[in-house]
Amino acid sequence: MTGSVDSLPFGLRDTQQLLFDAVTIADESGQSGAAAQLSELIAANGLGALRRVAIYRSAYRARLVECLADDYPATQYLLGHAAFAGLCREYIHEVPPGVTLNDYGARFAEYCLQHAPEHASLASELAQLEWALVTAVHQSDARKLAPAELAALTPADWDSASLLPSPTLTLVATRYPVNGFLQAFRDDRAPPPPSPAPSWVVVCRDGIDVWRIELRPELAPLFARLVAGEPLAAALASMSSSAPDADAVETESMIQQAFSQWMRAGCFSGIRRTSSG
Amino acid sequence: MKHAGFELPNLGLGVGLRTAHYAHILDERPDVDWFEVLSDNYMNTEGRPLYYLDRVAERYPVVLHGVGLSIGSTDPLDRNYLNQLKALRDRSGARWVSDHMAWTGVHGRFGHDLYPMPMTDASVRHMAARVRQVQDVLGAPLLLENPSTYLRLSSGAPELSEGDFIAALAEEADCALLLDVNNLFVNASNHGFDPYACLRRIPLDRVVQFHVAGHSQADGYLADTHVGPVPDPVWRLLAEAFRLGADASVLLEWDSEIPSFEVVHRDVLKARRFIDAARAPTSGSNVAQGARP
Repeated sequence: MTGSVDSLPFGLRDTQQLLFDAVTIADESGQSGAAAQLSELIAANGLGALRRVAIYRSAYRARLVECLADDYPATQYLLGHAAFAGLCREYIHEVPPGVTLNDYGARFAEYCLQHAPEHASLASELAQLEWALVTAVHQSDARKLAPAELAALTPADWDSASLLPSPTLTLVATRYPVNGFLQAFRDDRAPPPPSPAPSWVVVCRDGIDVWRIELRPELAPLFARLVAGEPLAAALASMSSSAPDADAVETESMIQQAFSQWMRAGCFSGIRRTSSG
Repeated sequence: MKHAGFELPNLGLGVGLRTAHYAHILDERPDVDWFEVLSDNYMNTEGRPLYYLDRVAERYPVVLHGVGLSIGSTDPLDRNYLNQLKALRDRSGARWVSDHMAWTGVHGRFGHDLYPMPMTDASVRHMAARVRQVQDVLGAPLLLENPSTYLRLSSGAPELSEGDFIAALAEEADCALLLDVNNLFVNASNHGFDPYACLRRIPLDRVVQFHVAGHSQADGYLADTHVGPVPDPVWRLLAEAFRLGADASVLLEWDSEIPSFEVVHRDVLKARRFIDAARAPTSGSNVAQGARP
């Protein structure tokens, strides 16, 4: 399936290159050298040639801004529509789209941190959370680890058994309480930018439901270790060593409730057993 | 009046499947003839979009409509894209697959828009060869749609009219057509030609599907925005196609400011009134003449 350039219509490839450059590359005045060159190849009928090229140029940017706004509605709200659109236009200039738009916003959180005109850290962390939601939607379905499978492990198994995270799962660790901000935005409560407060949010999908679970701070290291593939015993031991004065009964109850919630939400898809040899 | 080889079923009056309507469609199971699925939205995903596609395809006839084939590009056809499209077609049981007489990128870059081809014999030959390759891979009919365009590329070679270009491409590629009468109306306005004269140049026996949609008045031109109810001039163009002998599925595209499903569905059902009137004996004197000019 390779078209020989030699067999192509004379001039078509150059013409396409010229039009594409005119649409996607513009200088500060909105014009490009390609557009001026191309104007000789465009029939002017009512609207001038450059005006006609500008329709495509505007549509190219509008489509990509719309794509980013679909993925990052709360970030758009935080920055304001005009500032968000300006940031998107810079992003579009630096990050050209690939064959699919599904992953076009993958680098936007990183870009916000470097380039957002204000609230850069908050915007970047909020964008991380919103991208985790997009990822959860598009990653493949996974079977859900059943509580009975975990209950069937013997104490000896815990030294070598680790949990397999769902492909849809992301743990978003942030310095701002972005999950509360996102929820307030979705509830139309017009939230102001929040003050820093550490936050850990688990995002995963179970069927058509995408879950956001805010972790208690004392559970966050445990969850991170589980997701990293540490054996259950080692992950749990690290928790007790990090809070040696905690009430053992309360801690156990908290962990049991947390595991129950994580499994209900489909955070884990199975158990991996590694040989100890 | 169907061209031999294009006896694909007339599915009736359909609606473009949009995420805003997923819940309504699955919960209420509205009495819709069929759905058109935007194929690019269900490729490069393994997750929730496919769940909804599977449920809809279980209950309704579906067809696939895409923008990413880039049939007019001078880049090689994207084999990976084609394989994904074929997999999606197999998964959904789509009756047919459609894309545009356009290109979306060049030199491995992508604009995610439909850029116009010079309307020349060379363009016809270039695209026709690629249509045949695509149909070989898909193992399914590929319908080509006339896109809305905002400029005409002049290569210096003799140019065809829009109707003759569509006709020549369909003949050369021996493919079926998806005729978008809204695009035809928008192009006629933006490039200054008579849409009815254009319609009479198009081989309607190759038309398997129609698109209808709304458009918007922009600053000095009509924009193909797919917003709002279908305007009467677009309905009248559709009716004229049926009066000239077309007999094909009709699909409403509504992509901006999307209202409730009932509103969209009600709008496409208006097609019946226009089609019935066009086929009524008093207005049907030319029907028997067929579509050939």
